[in-house]
Amino acid sequence: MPLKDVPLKDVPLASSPVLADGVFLDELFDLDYREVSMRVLSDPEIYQLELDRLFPRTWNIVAHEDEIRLPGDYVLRYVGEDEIVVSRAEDGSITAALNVCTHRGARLCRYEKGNALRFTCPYHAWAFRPDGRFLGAPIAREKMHGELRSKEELSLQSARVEQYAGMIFVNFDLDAPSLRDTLGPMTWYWDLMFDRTSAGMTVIGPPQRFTIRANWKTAGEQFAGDIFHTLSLHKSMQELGMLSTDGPVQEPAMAGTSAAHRGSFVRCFDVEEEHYLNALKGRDLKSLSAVERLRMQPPPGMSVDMVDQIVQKFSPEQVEMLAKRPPQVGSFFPNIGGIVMHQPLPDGTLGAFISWRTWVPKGPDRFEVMSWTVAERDSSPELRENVRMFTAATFGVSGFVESDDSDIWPLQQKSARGALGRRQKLRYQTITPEGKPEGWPGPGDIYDGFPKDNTQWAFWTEYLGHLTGRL
Amino acid sequence: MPTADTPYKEATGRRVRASEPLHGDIVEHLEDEAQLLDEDDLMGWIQLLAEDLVYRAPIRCFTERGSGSPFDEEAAHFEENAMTIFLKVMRLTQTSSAWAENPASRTRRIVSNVRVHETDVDGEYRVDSSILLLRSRYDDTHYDLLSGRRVDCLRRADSGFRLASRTIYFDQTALGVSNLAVYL
Repeated sequence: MPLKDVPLKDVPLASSPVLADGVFLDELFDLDYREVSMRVLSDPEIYQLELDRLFPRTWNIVAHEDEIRLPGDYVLRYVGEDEIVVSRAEDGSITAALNVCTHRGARLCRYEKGNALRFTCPYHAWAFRPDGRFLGAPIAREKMHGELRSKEELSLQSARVEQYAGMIFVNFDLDAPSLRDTLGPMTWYWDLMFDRTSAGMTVIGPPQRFTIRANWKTAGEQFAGDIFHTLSLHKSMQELGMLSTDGPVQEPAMAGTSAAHRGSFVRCFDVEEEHYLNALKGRDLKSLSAVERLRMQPPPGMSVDMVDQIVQKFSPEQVEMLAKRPPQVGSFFPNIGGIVMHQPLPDGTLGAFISWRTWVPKGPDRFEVMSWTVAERDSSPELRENVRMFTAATFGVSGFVESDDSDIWPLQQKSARGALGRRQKLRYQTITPEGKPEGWPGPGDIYDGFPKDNTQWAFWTEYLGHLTGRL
Repeated sequence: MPTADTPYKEATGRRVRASEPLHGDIVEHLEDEAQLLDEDDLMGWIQLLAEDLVYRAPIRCFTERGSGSPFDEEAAHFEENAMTIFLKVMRLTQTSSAWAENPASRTRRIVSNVRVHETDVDGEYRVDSSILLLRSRYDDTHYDLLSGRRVDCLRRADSGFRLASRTIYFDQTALGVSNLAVYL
């Protein structure tokens, strides 16, 4: 009799899951008042639903292509709590397979990175190719893998692999839309952050990894559009004069436009009216062309000589966008973030921080931040050093910006543990009507002006759609 | 003999024996430094740093035995100089909203296994030590625990020593802490 384990692709999704106390998952989301029960942060049953229904069926970011340059190079990464091996094949293609031996379930590859053209399980020496294909069990005459299952059936479960801007994404759902289709209109903006030059970006070493004792969605919902928190949680930057404005809006970094699509988000900062960057302050920007402005202050991690490449690579509308309202921070649903920003420094210079990151779930109340620092392949040693240093100093485990976020997320989690607390709500009630500024050339759902709750609410409706099977 | 996996260059200068007064002076310096940090006296601590300080903690991976250093040469958990440390200390001590350390954590630094070697530069010493940091936040009974090896360059100054460089080789690959808003 076949095992009763339902393959993930056959898990019935056409209904709202019922939790152990009889509550329908739907009932934790108030669509009229735009409220989410804090139970979604702490309930272990909901967490299991996410592991089954969300992560194996969405595009997960796992590595940069330069981490596995040579044939046989591999790294270990995660899809939800499942560990996978991401490898470069001999023909240059990239493969990803579940790191679970099909014999007795041991961790097949036990090194975080390396080079191998085959993996031999330490337990009984079953051998596999990096793409997951089963090669054989030892002592062939004894037929130690038996004859009931074909070799094909004994292969490691493999994932679909696609790339964007040098980053490698995997999806275990064979029926899911392609990565490009999933990103949809967002690449119009994200290309301006991560795909700006002909040489493209490379990665600076392996990702930084650290652990936050909170649910992954505390970071996930914040990165889906919470620019507002900068004014309070990161107020120390204003106190130090590192974030200020001389524009008509006196709250620095709040002017701009948000673009969203199916739970993904990007924020385009207004550097024309507000220009919180020192280099642009006091300048009559409106009299300058987009290219003149980009030459005066190239985008983060770029030098003046790279500006010509931007003009060649992008449409005039995108060049204009990069000069006036550069996309600088955003997220891909459900658990991927990206940041490309300048940090004005006390000595008047600019640091650049450029990072891809993912929140890897490690239980309902724990997640790991995996954060890659990336830089233009063609950057000068000085520019590369600037990105390397200031990405670490601002974001990530020792970053003075992110350390305040990583302190507040566990406190939200603490709130969600109490019997009263988990019945409280996350509220998304500041709404701005959807509307494009005049002449806005970019695609997606557009929300202009002070950052409101629209895109974060869209994160939750997308989330609910995935968990209830409506998406 | 160091193996190929040894992540740090072994000291080549003369070993300063534990019985020599200099060794005692350096141990006292490290203990005083730990005391300043444990007591959250960051302004006192930065007086011990050299202007050309390099302070870093490289990222580590778990790799096959014999395959070389598990530490990356570029990617780091800490990547600081005197300017970034000064900036962070100003943030922690002079602003009202450095929430990562407000209220302050209670921390305890256990410094041990101190080994001192002379270097090619007169008055500069290579100092290796083991560090264990315990950090307690709010009323949480969980401790943040970080252990590692520190490789320092201490430079003799008019009074005492200044830290010219510190590299922290953490034992964890994925750090089990939310942030490094405290120093080791």
